[in-house]
Amino acid sequence: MNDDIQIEEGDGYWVGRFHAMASPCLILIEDASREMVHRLTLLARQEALRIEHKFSRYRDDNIVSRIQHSGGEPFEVDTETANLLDYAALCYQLSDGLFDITSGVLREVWRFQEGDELPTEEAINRLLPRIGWDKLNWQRPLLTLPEGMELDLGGIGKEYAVDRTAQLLGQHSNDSLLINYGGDLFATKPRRGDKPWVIGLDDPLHTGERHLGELHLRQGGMATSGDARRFLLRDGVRYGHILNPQTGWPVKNAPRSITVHAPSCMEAGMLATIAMLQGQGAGEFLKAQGLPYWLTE
Amino acid sequence: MQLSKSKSIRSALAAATCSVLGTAQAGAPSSDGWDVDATFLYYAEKDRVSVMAPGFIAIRAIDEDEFVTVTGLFDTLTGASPTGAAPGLGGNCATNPPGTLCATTPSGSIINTKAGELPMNDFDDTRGSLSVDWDTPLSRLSRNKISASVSSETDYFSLGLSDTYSREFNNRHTTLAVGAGLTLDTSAPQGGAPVPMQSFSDTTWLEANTTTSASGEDEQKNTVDLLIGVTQVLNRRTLVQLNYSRAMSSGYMNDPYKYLSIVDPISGQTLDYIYEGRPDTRTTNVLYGKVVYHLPEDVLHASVRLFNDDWGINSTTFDLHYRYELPGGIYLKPHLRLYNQSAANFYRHSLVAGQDVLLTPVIPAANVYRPQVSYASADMRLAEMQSTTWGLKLGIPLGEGKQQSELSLRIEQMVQSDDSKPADAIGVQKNYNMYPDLEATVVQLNYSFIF
Repeated sequence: MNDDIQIEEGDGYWVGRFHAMASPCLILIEDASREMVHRLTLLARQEALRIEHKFSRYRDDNIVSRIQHSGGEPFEVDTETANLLDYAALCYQLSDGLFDITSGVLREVWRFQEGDELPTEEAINRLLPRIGWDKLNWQRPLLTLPEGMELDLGGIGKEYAVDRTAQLLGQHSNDSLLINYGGDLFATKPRRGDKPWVIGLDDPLHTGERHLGELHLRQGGMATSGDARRFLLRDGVRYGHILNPQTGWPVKNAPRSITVHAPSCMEAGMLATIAMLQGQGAGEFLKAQGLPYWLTE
Repeated sequence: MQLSKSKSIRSALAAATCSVLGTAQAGAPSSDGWDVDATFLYYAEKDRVSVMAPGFIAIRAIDEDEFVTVTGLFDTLTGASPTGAAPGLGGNCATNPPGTLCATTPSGSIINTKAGELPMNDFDDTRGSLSVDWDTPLSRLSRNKISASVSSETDYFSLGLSDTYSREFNNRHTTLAVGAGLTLDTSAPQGGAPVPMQSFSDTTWLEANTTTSASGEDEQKNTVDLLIGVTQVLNRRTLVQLNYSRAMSSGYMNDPYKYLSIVDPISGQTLDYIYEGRPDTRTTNVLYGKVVYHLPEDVLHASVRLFNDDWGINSTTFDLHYRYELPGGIYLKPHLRLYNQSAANFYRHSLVAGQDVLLTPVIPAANVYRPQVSYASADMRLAEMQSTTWGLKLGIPLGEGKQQSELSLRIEQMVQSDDSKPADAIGVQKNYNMYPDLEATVVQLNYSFIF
């Protein structure tokens, strides 16, 4: 991990770079002094790392780990964690149980790395009893997580970090800022002359090689769900990496990629994820939301 | 299971997002509020002055990249400060038998001294000050800042106006700034400004009333400041700044409440007092260099300030801050400051009768001491001295989102010292501490929030 920041000057804007949450993170700033860009990038990195450290499930010294090791006993969480759990509970409800932060255990059998090896029906069925938000007890601020179950805030964390960073930097700067944490975006306000930030849209079939086009982001959040490189093929069926927590199987006929523009990055990310979980119904679901979106079948 | 086709979850999600991120819309610019630092400073010198100073700094963006800063400070000063008189055998007008030294200033204050102690003057004062800065972009690379300030206390009034222009060059790696300022000070000492270098026993002005001062008129001072500075980004970790400033003052520079002892050339005992007198012009030069070095998380600030003036004072200040980041946004900032200065060429801890001042017969009054030197001051701030300050600041972020704020506490301790047994001490002065150490404590509580 690169634990540093880099400052570069782009065409009419500054770029502050660092690495956090397993992603390249960029802060684009229009018209500020270099010292200010430096300061803002350091602040952004500090906030991104704070959120990563606090909510990563790969650490053994944070709240997620302590919840994991609470042995099925009620565990009192802090306000920030409680807010995120409330949010996760609501998203579970709004998605009719399709968005579920307890579904992370499915990764034990679905790895999406080693060729076309599919897990057995049996292996998946063994995991299902350990999945389901309705199986745990959340009485703010007390969380009781049955043993064997796991929490994974990865589906919220990065978007949350983007919005939090935008809030934080917005308190220190009135410049137009674009926060880009691994493709999850937020723009604080339009650029000078009401210009938008221009974001290249990756072709999911040729990631990093070909741009499908450009997205214009003036203000607000934008997030993408879908990753063309992570899928399994079996008997001509493409199994994407979006897993249905109720069946334990990948969502069938899900679009390759969905990008949503919403007032915040959290909303954009959640709508893209829930749309993806609709499979074939993704387009209709997105239309019903009345927000700009881009869908790649 | 799929959602029904027409179901929109957008508004429910928006509401939930708001409660996670705080009440305000994420990322709304802060231009609709004031960034406020409310501060309370307590400064106390051991056995001397103490100051309580509540204040605030408020910054607001009035347009894109255009800022107004308002700073207000209200000081209450109480305590005692050295008069300039030398320690002696002591004297008390109320209780001393006739013949021992006892003096009253022309304005009626009685000078009581305790044997061997530095004579002090009790005082109470309040001061209010307000300044407004307007910082605005002129073009993509240049800015202008206009500042106006006013400060008022019982016997002093100050008005200031300055302008600084800055421009970035070299891919914004270099910033050049030039500035100029004008300050007008008015001093209206209680009982009128004393005549500089006049002994207390010399009351000729009372009868003649022909001297230019002591008539209750205000005294003026004007100062013109010029500044040129360059800030250079050396690399992504290091920033250096170099400033040169020059200030030219003319007018009344005396401290009307300070005087010197006229001492007996053999015994060293005080015979009379004489008001201090300083030149009425002063030119100061300051060269200031600063380095800011960003470590991956922490930040180091180091600066050196070189000062000289045509009064003969040369000083060097070395200042070091280190911002140490702790988990959760908490930071610790240790501070070290080392300062030393040489004395003004007219600084004297006392004047010697028969050498610096001569006893002169005056008609119709009695004999008075008349100075043989043009300028003299025993103000300890003009003496040779060294000081060491060390401190620690703790900053704690509070609240979340738009309610985010920071609480910080700074504690500093300063010790200022000089030769307490100067070689030119006379007689009884050799027994006394002519320059007691000054110990001061600063406690500052600061709360930053968005209003």
